[in-house]
Amino acid sequence: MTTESSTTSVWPDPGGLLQPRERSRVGELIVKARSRQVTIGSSQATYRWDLSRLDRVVSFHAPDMILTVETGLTLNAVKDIVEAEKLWLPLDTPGGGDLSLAEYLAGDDSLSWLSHRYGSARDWIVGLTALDDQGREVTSGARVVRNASGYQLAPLYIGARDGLGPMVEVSFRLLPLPVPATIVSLKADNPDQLVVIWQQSCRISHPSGRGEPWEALRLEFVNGRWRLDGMTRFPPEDVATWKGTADVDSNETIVVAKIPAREGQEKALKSDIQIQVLPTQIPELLTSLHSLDVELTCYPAAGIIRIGRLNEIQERSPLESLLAAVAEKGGRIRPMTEDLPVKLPAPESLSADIVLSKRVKQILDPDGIFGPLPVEQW
Amino acid sequence: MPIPPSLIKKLRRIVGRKQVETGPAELLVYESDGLRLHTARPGCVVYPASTDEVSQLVKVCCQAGVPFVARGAGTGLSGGAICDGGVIIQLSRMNRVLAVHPDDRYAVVQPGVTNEYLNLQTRGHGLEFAPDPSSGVSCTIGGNVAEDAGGPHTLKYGVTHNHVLGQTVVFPDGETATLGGPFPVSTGPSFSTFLIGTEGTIAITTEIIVRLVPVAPAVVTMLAIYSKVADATDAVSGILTAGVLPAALEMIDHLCIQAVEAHLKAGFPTDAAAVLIIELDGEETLMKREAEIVARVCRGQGTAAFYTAETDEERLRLWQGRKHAAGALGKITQAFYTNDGVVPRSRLTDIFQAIYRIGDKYGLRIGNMCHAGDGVIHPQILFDSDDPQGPGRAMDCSRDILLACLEMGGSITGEHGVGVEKRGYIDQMYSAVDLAHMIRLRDGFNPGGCLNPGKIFPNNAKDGETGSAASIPPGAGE
Repeated sequence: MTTESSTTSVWPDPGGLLQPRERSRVGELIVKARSRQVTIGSSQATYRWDLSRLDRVVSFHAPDMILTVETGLTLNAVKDIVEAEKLWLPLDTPGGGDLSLAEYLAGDDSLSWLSHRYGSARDWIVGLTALDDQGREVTSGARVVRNASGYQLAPLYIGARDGLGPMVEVSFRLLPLPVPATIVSLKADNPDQLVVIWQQSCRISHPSGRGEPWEALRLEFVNGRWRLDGMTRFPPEDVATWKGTADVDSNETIVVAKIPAREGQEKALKSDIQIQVLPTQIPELLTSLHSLDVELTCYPAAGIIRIGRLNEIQERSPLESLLAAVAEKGGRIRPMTEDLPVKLPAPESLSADIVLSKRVKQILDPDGIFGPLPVEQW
Repeated sequence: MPIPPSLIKKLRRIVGRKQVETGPAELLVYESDGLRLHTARPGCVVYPASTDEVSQLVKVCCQAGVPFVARGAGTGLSGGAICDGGVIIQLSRMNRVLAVHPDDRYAVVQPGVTNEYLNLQTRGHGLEFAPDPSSGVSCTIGGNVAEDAGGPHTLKYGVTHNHVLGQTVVFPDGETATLGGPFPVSTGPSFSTFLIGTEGTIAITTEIIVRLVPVAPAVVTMLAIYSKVADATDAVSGILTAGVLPAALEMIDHLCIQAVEAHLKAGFPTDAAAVLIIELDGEETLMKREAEIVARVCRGQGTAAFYTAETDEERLRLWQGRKHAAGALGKITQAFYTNDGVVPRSRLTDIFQAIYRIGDKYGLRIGNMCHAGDGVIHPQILFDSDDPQGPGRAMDCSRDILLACLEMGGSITGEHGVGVEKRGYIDQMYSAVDLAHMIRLRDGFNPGGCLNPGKIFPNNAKDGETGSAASIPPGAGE
């Protein structure tokens, strides 16, 4: 059950969504929640936010290459707005971009094939407005590309799953829309050939043997086939040589996309688990996962592997053993959904980041009005 | 108030007798950072060699209620590393590159490592640390972290917080924490990223994991010369809106050009009103296409002349001219004051008009160099140091420029930080509620206020007590 809170004082049943129509209502709801002694925010709070009705473009002057919007807009809507002005926000999400920014940022599901070069949402936010535990708007950052004034709150709030307060406005720095890119798509029966192509291509462009030809890169194993999708500014004729003698099917491969960031991302697998390791650990891990026949998406240079469709796996103990081995070697494993069908290795102790985030929570929300921090999901 | 002898004794016990300085001559060096107009004499300086020593030092300082500040090379320009009567924790002995992992593209460094030294260790692998402050020869990675430093090439590559993967920090109570890790990207809240740019007011960084990026395979550096400043600033917008993202897009105006040519002979024409240095890097074919676009935009914007550096030597000379422009001003003035503001890119023309107008108002000459592509301005306000009112007038002039930046939707600092210099203006930028929220965080981790007191926020501001921090009234600096 949901409620439109600007026209009614009726609250939904516990577990329901609050859908404020205006910014001012967000603060009022926090104040009212205090008096009712209920919590709003994280998944474990009495109520959760649905800020999709806060969908205004607050300011956008294309020559400044800064966009400030309310967080009810979807990532795709933001991309439409900026691309119309020949600008680009190099963020994507495996979810396809239909999440509101509020959900997208609260969950920080911002890793994608673009993370290879462009990082995550944290790298593109220059200003943030959230609500504090008294229902007041607090802002940090500014609507300029560079700013070193005061504390930047975005790194604390992004990914905190609304546990520090709802984010209602965000400013992004943007890039010029790049020239059309070369999109590469190769298929193979096993990951080894694709890994070789990835590694060889990264040695091409610099005399010292290093370079960065890829702007985006993804390896995936879906429907019984391995596939490499990449985006590069190198000309198609150069890219054709990268295959070398690798045994890959390249019939459909090299195309030039008009808006490169959108290509292919929607097709990405919905993930259950995210594994984070060093890039040099990726090849061995892919080989191990290949033997387990699990569907996965990998952003190799970012050191990320996301595994999906775990419900379809018959024999789970080999995967659990592999995950335990990854954790043993310092890799990080993060659940992406609730009620996972596999058992994740228990961390020996909470990481310092989580301990300190809990301390931040105590400082900024001592009464827990935004619900407990769901730290186990980080 | 002098530091109690009992504390000096404890400090010596931790780091060794020779690693604690108390003599007035030695302390003189630490009275200011690169911003000489704000001075404060510390009570002593200590030189730790490890995280553990830093932890022990801060613990005893806190117990004694004595303020302390971490300091790198002292090249900061906002008075962030001064400490009136307290303890300077000088991190220059912690200057080792602990590891370079070229295959995973990261390095682990101590905070006293300079940008240049780090890059010397990594360029052989075809990799580098992207932030490149103009003081990169001497400034330290620890200082980069404290100020979220940038530099000319951050237009394309981002600032320090985009290139730090993790860090080890010491909190004021001596507690240490290792944050983040060597992974290329991360999700979820990041306390490590939050700390970057907090100007050493929450914790002291004692080890840093930095991201390394590939050295660009090819670079083109161009010089566009203008007889009107407005044409140069308009060209900046023109280049970016044409779809080109240069690695760097810098501007120097007439007065700085004259200083540079008097000192360095970088090849800037002394009759130009302004020059743009435009650098592209990346894949060669693409870069050629972008260079043609840049040339077309610059010519369409009324450039008097347009050159492309033909050799590495020419390229380096242009960059020397840009990076040492501030130093070159010493050839034409006794003293100058470096301002650091930001405007939205489209307001560059407006802010330069305002800067010249404000300079006229105070009867002061102002030379400009700026990271034009980012909208970051660094007016250099020349003043007469023999005139008792000279420094005050320069500070008033600087304040007016910063307020003009704010009126245009900008910020009071792009990369030098707030420090003590701009703490009086920060309430012009943020509301009392915004500042109270930040101060809650500071006080939550720095409850006794011993770590780097009096920085960023109005003096003695506590949670909920920020309202009285009005901007410094005209003439206050005189």
